[in-house]
Amino acid sequence: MAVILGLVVASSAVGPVEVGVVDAARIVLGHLVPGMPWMTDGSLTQLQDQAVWNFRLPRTLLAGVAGAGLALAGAIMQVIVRNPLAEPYILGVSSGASVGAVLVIVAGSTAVAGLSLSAAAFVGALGASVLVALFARQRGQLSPTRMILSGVALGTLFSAITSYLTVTTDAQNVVSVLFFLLGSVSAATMQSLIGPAIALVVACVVVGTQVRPMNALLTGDESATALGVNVARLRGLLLLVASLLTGAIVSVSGGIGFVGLVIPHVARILVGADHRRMLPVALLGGAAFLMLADLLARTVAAPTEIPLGILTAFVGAPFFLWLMRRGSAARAGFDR
Amino acid sequence: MRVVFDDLTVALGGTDVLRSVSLAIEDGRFVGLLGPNGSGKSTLLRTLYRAVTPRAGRTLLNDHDVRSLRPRDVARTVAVMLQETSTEFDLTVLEVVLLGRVPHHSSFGRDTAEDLRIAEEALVRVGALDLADRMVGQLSGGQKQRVMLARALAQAGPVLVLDEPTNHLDIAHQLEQMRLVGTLDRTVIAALHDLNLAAAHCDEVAVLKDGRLVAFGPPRDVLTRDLVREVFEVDARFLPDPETGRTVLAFGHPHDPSPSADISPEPQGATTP
Repeated sequence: MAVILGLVVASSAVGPVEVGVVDAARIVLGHLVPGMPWMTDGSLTQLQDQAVWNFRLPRTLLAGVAGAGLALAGAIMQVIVRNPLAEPYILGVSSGASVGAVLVIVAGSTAVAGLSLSAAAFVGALGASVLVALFARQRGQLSPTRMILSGVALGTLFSAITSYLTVTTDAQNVVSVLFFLLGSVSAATMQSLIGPAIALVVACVVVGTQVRPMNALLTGDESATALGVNVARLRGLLLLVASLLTGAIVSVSGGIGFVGLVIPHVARILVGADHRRMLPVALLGGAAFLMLADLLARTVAAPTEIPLGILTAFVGAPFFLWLMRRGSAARAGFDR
Repeated sequence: MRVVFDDLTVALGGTDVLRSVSLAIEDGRFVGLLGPNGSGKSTLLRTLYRAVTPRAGRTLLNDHDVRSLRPRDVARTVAVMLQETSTEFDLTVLEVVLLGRVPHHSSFGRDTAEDLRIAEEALVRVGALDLADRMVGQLSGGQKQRVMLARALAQAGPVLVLDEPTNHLDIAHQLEQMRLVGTLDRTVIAALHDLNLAAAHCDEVAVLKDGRLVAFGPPRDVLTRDLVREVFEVDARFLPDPETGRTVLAFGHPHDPSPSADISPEPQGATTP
């Protein structure tokens, strides 16, 4: 928690407009608590205030929400299909969202019934999830293997559509498309935060009431059934939650990769697979990781901004490989 | 608790794997389910913890159809020891045994001190307390099996279901486990492959073949030479154990001249008259 607060302040202070760490903290506090003297005594310029409150803070918070949400969605997906390679996008959610978003970028809102980019992406994400769920149904139940395979197949199909749209569009649109595909929180506003934040809270509440059944599901469907878990219902509920959460995040921040796959594993390596310990670590770790990645994304090559997906992979992959080689990785089942 | 299988028919993938099986198991009995591979032993057990839905017939716990009970109530009544556990995401031995307490609680919250006591006691009973902090995925087959029995003991409930509880165990643990299960004050139903273990420990045995119940009763009445040949397609010899006086079964392929050549201490052709 302290790390996350520190990152919020540090991130608010870093950027082209000069703002000290203390001033950044004062600006944030001033907006939250009315009547703070420094907001009106002229010690802060309007430019500083805008830079912190309208640009840096929203994107930092969105990075935190997206990181926490993707880590949670990844952990859920890994339990649902009981496969360590599962991640939030395994059911084609991000490629579905990409089709919606890229359609808006290359053809304009009118092409998708006037939906905004975010709305079109959200519709695409949910459409993909629904299709995968329909294909994965078998005698009224979701089969994990079918879920993975139909997710991969549909994801490939959607990616092909996105690729076609991208290569046939004007060159000026390509950068926008790439930023969406690789993920970015640079366009964040306080409004755009609302959807993902609500989705994250709802998901946390729902998942919080199912942690013991989720632990039981780790040992297998038959085993969970023997422990009184309604496996079909639990899987359906978790799939719904993970899809809505991922869709809400992807529609605002694009397809930020790696977080949803790796942070749950990091959490398991650190505290084991019991969801009561592992999920809080994944949530906080995901938030901190993505906030850090965003801070780097807009500073290392300033004034050019690097898409977040590139940073998460550059920072995350070596860290994860190092962690995996350590002895404690055995606790997460890496030695099988 | 009384367990009744009432005219059960179960179809899996279009094939009837159980056909009109009716069987009543009285409270506190230790019943062995015998039969060759694919005879329907596991499927019969699975109807008890709601893992399969019968096409016809009912499975009753004290006259209540398990399909009409809530899953959690069934799990509080019927504790299950499965053959295998999935270890893609590995848990420690203690965590797995504590899962046995899942049906006794709401879906969230901590394990209570009571849960921990029950789990540790279960581990002590199967002689696996020293494994408590190990990862289940790193255990041997036999160690895993003892942990799964500990989980079933922690799950409590008046009915205990065991699906091939001894198939990975060394001989000492086989005997110890059967003895332990026999002393429990519960109705126990176990799918078994070892006819000698069943004969020595079970109050009654039920024999299945091709999804049908072919015999049910005390082992010495049921396990006859004709039945063993008909159901298992092997020849059985009944040898008296000179120490205990109990009858021990020795088996041989029907085409072998001496069915018990590998086990009998006597030379070929000189076994029983």
